[in-house]
Formats: sequence, C-alpha cells, structure tokens
Amino acid sequence: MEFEILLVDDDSMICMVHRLLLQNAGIDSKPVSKGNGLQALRHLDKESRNPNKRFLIFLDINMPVMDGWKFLDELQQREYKDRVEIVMVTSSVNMMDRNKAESYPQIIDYVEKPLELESIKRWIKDPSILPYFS
Amino acid sequence: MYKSDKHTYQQFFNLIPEPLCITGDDGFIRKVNPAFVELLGYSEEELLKMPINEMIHPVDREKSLHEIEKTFNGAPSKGFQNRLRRKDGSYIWLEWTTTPSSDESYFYASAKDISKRIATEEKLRSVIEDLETAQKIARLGYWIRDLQTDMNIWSDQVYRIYGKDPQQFTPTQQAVEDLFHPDDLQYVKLSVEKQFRENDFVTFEHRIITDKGEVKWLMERSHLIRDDQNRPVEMKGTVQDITETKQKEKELKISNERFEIAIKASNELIWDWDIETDKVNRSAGYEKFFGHDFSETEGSEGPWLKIIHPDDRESVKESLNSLLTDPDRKLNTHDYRVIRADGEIAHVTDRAFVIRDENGNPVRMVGAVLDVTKSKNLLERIRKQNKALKEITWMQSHTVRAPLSRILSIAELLKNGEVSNEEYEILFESVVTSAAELDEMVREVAAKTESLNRRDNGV
Repeated sequence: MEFEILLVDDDSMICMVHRLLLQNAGIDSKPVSKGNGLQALRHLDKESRNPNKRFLIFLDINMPVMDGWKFLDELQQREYKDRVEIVMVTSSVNMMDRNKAESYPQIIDYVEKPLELESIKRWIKDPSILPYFS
Repeated sequence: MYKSDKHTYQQFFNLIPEPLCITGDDGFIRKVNPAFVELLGYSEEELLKMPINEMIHPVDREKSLHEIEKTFNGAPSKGFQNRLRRKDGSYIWLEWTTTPSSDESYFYASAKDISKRIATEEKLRSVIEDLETAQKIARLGYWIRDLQTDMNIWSDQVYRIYGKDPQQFTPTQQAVEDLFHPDDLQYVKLSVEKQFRENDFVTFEHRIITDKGEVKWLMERSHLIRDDQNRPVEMKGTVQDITETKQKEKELKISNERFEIAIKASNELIWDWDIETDKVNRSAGYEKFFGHDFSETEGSEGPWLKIIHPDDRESVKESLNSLLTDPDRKLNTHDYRVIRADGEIAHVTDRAFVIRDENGNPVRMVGAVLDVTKSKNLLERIRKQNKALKEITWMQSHTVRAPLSRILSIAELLKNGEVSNEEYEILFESVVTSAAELDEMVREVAAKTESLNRRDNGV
C-alpha cells in the first residue's frame, strides 16, 4: 500500500507552512501541493490508477477555478473515492460550512486555520491515518 | 177689533222666522211657533206636554232655572245662553231674549241658534291653544313696534326670552337695544336698513345679554307695515331663542376644525365613496395632494385612479373589489405607488373601510391614504446600509482572515517545529507581506465606514 498526502490551497505560503508542519510531525513522504480543486482532481485521476494508493487531503474551501465544495461533489463520481480521507482546513468560521462538510463520507475532520500540531497528533492515533506518518 | 188684533198677532207669531215660545210659571211651554218646532224637532203636542227643564242640558239646568226665576220676577233679559236637547238627542246652543207677562204668570221668549258660532269659537280657542303651545316649544315670541313712538309691544314669550318681568319692564326701542350684545348692535342696524331697502321682510340673528349676564342667540324675522301712502308705520316680527342651535353649530365647527387639523398633521387624506352614485369626496388636503388638483367630486374611475402607478393600478382595483364582494370583510389595507405632478413616485398606504346595508350590500366606502414615502425611503436607505455593512463583514471574515491565518500558521510552525534558514527567510518575508496586506484591508474598512457615515448624514 502507498500513501500520499495532498495539500490543496490557493495560498502557496499556506501550502508551504502546512508541508513544514507535517514534516515536523514526521510524515513519511513529501506532500504534493495543488492550488485549486481542479488541479487536485487531475492529479488524483492520474495517481489513482495505482489501485494500491491511498490519499490524505488537506482541503481549503475558498479557492479560484474550483472550490472545495465543487471538488467534493466531483470526487463522489470517482471510483477511487473510498481510498481518500479528507481534512477540511478553512479560514471560514461558519457553522453552516461545518455541518455541510460533515455530510461527505470522506471528511474525517474540519479545522480552522491555522493548522495546529495538536490536531495532527490527534489524527495520527487513527489507524487509517497512521500509515501516512510511519 | 181685539179679535182681529189677536188674529193678526197669531199670524205674526206663526210667520216670524225666529223661534218663539211662551212658558208658564208651572214650567210647561204654553205656546210655540213653527220655527221653534222646527228648531227642536219635537211636535207641538210633545213640546206642550214636556216640562221645560227636561229639555235643558244637565250642566246648564241650574243657571237656566235661576234665569227663568229672574224673568218671572219682572226682569227682561237678553243674551242668556244654554243648550236644549233636540228630539234626535243632540244639543243645540241657544241665545235667549225673554220678557215676562204683565201678571208674571208666563214669559215670552225668543231663541237664536248660536251653535255654529259656539263651534267656531271653540275651534278658534283650540287653534290658539295649539299655537301658544307651538310658540312655547319653538320659543317663538311676537312683537310689534310702533315707528312713531318707537314703543314695542311684546308677547309673554318675548319677555321670557329677554328674561324680563312684564310688570316691571317697558320695552321701548332704546331699552331693547340696550340689551343687545354691544358687538352686534351696529351690525344689526346696518343689516336691517340694507334689507329693508330691498324687501319689507328681513331676517337676522343677534345676541342679547340678559340681566343675569347670560348670552343668548336670537333669530328675528321682521315685517315692515306701511300705510296707504306707503310710509312705514310699524314693524311686526317674531323672535326665537336659537342659543342651543348656535352652541351645537359651534361645537360641530370646533370638531370639524380639529378633524381637519388632525388630517393635516397626520399626512392622512380621507376619502368617502358613495357606491350607489359612484361619487368620491376627498378631504381638503387632496386639493394640493402630490401636486394634483382633486377639488372636484369624482367617480371611482376618476383622476385618483389615473395618478396610481400603472403597474399598481390593477392590483388596487382588485383589492377594492375583493373588499366589496366579500361580505365578511370590513377593512382592507393596500400599499401602492402614485405618481406626483412633478413626476416623482410617492408610496402610500391606503386603508379602506366598507359600510354595508342590512342585506350586506356595500353602500359606502371610507378610507385614509397615508403618504409613507419618507419611511419607505428610509427603509431603502437602511437596506443599502445593511448591504454595505454585509460587504464589510464579508471582507473581514474572508479576505482579512486569509493573511491573518497565514501569519497564525507560520507562528504555529515556528513555535513547534524546525525549519531551515532558507525556509525561515521565506516565512519571515511572508509574515511581512501578510501584515502589509492586513494593514491595507483595515484602511479599506475604515474608508467604507466613513463613506457610510457620510451617506447617513445626507452628504
């Protein structure tokens, strides 16, 4: 089994900071950064051809071209959707967004920026997440 | 000769058209002439067998017997009146002229039928009584003024109106005018003079002040009487106390004025639609309402409908129709737009109240139109401000959050993790640019708020 981490945010600085945070938390591989939902979807469509590959995605909501919600809707049409875990990382502080996010089966958590080390330590305890960090 | 004389008297007695009788001291009639028989309807035989007091009306009986007694004592009498019963049971009023015989054993009597006169008198008396009652009810008094002496003659009611005692007050014209309200005297004199130049009948109103200090309103109707050389000799007139009517008129006027002031102050315009005649009356304010002239009475399809905004016209008609046709409804409120004479749009709230007859059919509709343009405009301004405020809020929650969360994320990373020198440089540079971005946004928010303040102050 292969595990890949995908950072989806139009703010490249956020992507970089998150990458450094995850590396400090001890991830195995180098995360892939994508600037919006469409770029992320193209990457996944290609990489998922390897049936042994699973993906952990840190997903922003407000992005140009294709936002986080549209990306989630598109994902539901894909055969590899069950090989994906998603953490929503947003600058929104809206309760409606939180409730909407929880209706997607791939969402394992919903956090507001900044992403904190404490949160990462919590996810690692999850057996399905642990392999990304070993 | 005597026999011949007696025969002559007998013939006279029978011929005289006046009813005559001779009555004895036994109370029986001795002799009657045909006129007497005809008057009472009994036959001569019946009359001669009946005591005279049986024919007299019971009420008149005692005074009649007293009168007969006087006659027998030698006093001829004239003008005594009583009633006798005719054969058909009816009573007849008679006036008697009597004279006793020389030996006082019988008396001659001639009767005159005065029933008609009595009936007329009674009728007149009742008319006068009715008239007096009517005068009292109408508080109407009569007066006559002699123009030579300037002396007035007053009926009792005039004394009552002026609050004067007939025994103590002499109504000379000067004394009467002294009772007039000082503010009215000059006006009354001029007005009466002017009217008499055109007409012998004048009508005027004036006030008097009674001795008790009470102010009364009087209505006078005068008639100028002229002699055969057409010179005025006297004035006759009626006077009526109209204080109560005046008081009510005044109260009504005050109430109307209050109502109109209220209408002006409230911006409300009252309309009143008579459905049967399809006439609409509008309160005074309409004349200049929205710059249009509504002084003319108009129908429901009149000029008001024409100034209603074309897009709202149908809905106004429908709304009124639904109120007219639904017997369970009384009130309806409808908001619509009207076009002012200057072309501007005004917003109104029109409240209508329908009045129905006993069968539930609408007969009248009364309504009040309130100009709500000001509050509408205020609402619109609040709506715009809300939109601007939402924009500011959105900018704060989304745009401002982005550089802020970037700074916070970098802080979180540097607090816990290790980064290379090269990475540190990049992160530091990002904190600086993010801070500058934030600074600019805060300035933008301040500028927007400032522009809202300016709009609020009407600049």
